[in-house]
Amino acid sequence: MSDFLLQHYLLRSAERCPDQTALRFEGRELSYGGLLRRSIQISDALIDTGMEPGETAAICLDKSPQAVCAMFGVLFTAGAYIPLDTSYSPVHRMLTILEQSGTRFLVTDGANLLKLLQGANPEQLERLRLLHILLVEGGAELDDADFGMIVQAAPEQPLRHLYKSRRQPISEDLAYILYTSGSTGVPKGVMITHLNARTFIDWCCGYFKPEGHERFAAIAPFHFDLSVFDIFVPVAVGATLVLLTAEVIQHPARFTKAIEQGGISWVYSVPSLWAAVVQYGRLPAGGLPSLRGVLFAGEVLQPKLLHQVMELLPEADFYNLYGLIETNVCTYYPLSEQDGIHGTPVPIGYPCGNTGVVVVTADGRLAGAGEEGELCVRGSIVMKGYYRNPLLTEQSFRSIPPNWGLGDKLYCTGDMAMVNENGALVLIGRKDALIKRSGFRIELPEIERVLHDMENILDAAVVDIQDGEGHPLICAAVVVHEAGSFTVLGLKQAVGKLLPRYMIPDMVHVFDSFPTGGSGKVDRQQLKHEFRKRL
Amino acid sequence: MQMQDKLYEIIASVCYFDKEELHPGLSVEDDLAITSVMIVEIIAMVESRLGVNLEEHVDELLSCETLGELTALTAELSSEHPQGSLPGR
Repeated sequence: MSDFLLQHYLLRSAERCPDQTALRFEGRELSYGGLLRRSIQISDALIDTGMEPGETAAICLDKSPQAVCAMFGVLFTAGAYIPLDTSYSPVHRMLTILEQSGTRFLVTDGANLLKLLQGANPEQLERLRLLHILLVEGGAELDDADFGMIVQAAPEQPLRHLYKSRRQPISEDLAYILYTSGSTGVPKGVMITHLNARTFIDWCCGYFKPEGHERFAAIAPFHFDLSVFDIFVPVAVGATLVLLTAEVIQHPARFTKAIEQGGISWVYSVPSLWAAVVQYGRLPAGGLPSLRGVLFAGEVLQPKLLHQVMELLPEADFYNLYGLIETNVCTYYPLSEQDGIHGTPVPIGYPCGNTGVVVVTADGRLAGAGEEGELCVRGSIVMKGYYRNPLLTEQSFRSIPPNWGLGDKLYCTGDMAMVNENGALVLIGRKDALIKRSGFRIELPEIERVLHDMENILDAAVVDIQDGEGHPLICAAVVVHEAGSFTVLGLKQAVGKLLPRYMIPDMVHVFDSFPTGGSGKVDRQQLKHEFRKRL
Repeated sequence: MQMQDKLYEIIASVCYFDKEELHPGLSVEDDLAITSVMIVEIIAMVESRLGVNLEEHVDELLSCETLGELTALTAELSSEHPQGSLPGR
């Protein structure tokens, strides 16, 4: 039996329908034959530069067909790719991830490489110079004499299929590493194997039954876990992926026009995207007839918004999906009109195929119906662990008694949940300092560490509250050395230089000192109360 | 100037800035980190507080790069489209 790997989806579709459009981007199209050809060119070039099976390669490219080719190129090389966030993250964060990953290879283009070089400090510049860099586009603007190893993957190069003569990976090998906010101040890399990803992708193909003639919108940036569905499900069935830029996605009217003109059948996004469409998309009811499926994930879905979107798109089917990067999507819930009418939270539903999801109470029991507890997941959908961080990996899994009949380990999500009267899982909240905003995970201690490192800050605490509509707000409480030279704008600008935009605190308030509890610890509930008073 | 003052007040309240820190040269995206969702919220507040109808111009407002551009465009639209002036309003 041979292992079926992520790149085999592409090989299969390129063989079945080489002329079918695989990718569409800004009016240009790339066929399955073209996607395969370019991916193998990149793989040939990576093997030439010395990339060995099992190694990683970071990809620093904007959302584009080249980025998809680079991902498959790394997979063909028998390696794992690390997509960097070129849209929301400052250069400092990309360089931090490059450093944490210890990767020796970087796939990029001239413009992004220049951005990295210009944003790097002397120490980071030195590390960049040690990388093997593969340019898939551009490069005229660079002085390549500065680098130890920089090569171009030219589109006219003949294919050599070097990957065929090397050790083939197996399903248990890493396919990609997605970096997310880490509570220690350093982003953490979630290791996903071919088997982890395939468990999700194959379930999607079986459950949603997408077809080869359909078109999928690529909404999420490629470093975000929602993009795994966007990229691999269409490739698995030979359908077309339409890449939408951030500019289009952020403009409600342009977004709906792109869906209409692109004849898009499937959209997978955070619910807040649709909140803007409802309000400013200028969309008449039934205005997007090509849409067959609307999938929500990454945020709590509000019943009112669901009701509004259902009224706008009466022909579409709706689903609420749930999962963390560590678990892929592990539960699903087919939505009905009733879910948009009731004032109760929209459920996250039932476990996906080949996946076990249970609720464990605070005293370590399996929760009964209606009982609250931590949502825990098991099965081949769950990550291999955190990259180069065995301690954190160990801490995130819990051993369970043999008499539960659920194997020996569960991944603990940190999300609190319960099972409702219909047997569906319902999210209640978090047990730690992690929040989600626009689908992005944010560890509040990571922001706190950045604030502590600032010159004028004596002490800092970051908490979250909700605004009037239930959206999370990040609130930074600070004690400063010199109040005269402190500005809220200055603090936000400084944080924006080190962390992604979605991690910049919304509210900032200077305290003379923090309220403390009996143990002497900062009383965070009191801080939340102080911020709520300022809303 | 009056429009700028009112707009700064709205932006400061939606994005939790101190109004006094705002100035026209600030970048909407990089300095203020105003997201598209926030701009939509700002537009809704401008409509309700200043009586300006901006519904047809959301895309243009979302494209403003600096606070100065955002203020100038809002002022221009406010003179062109006071609320109730559009068909059907």
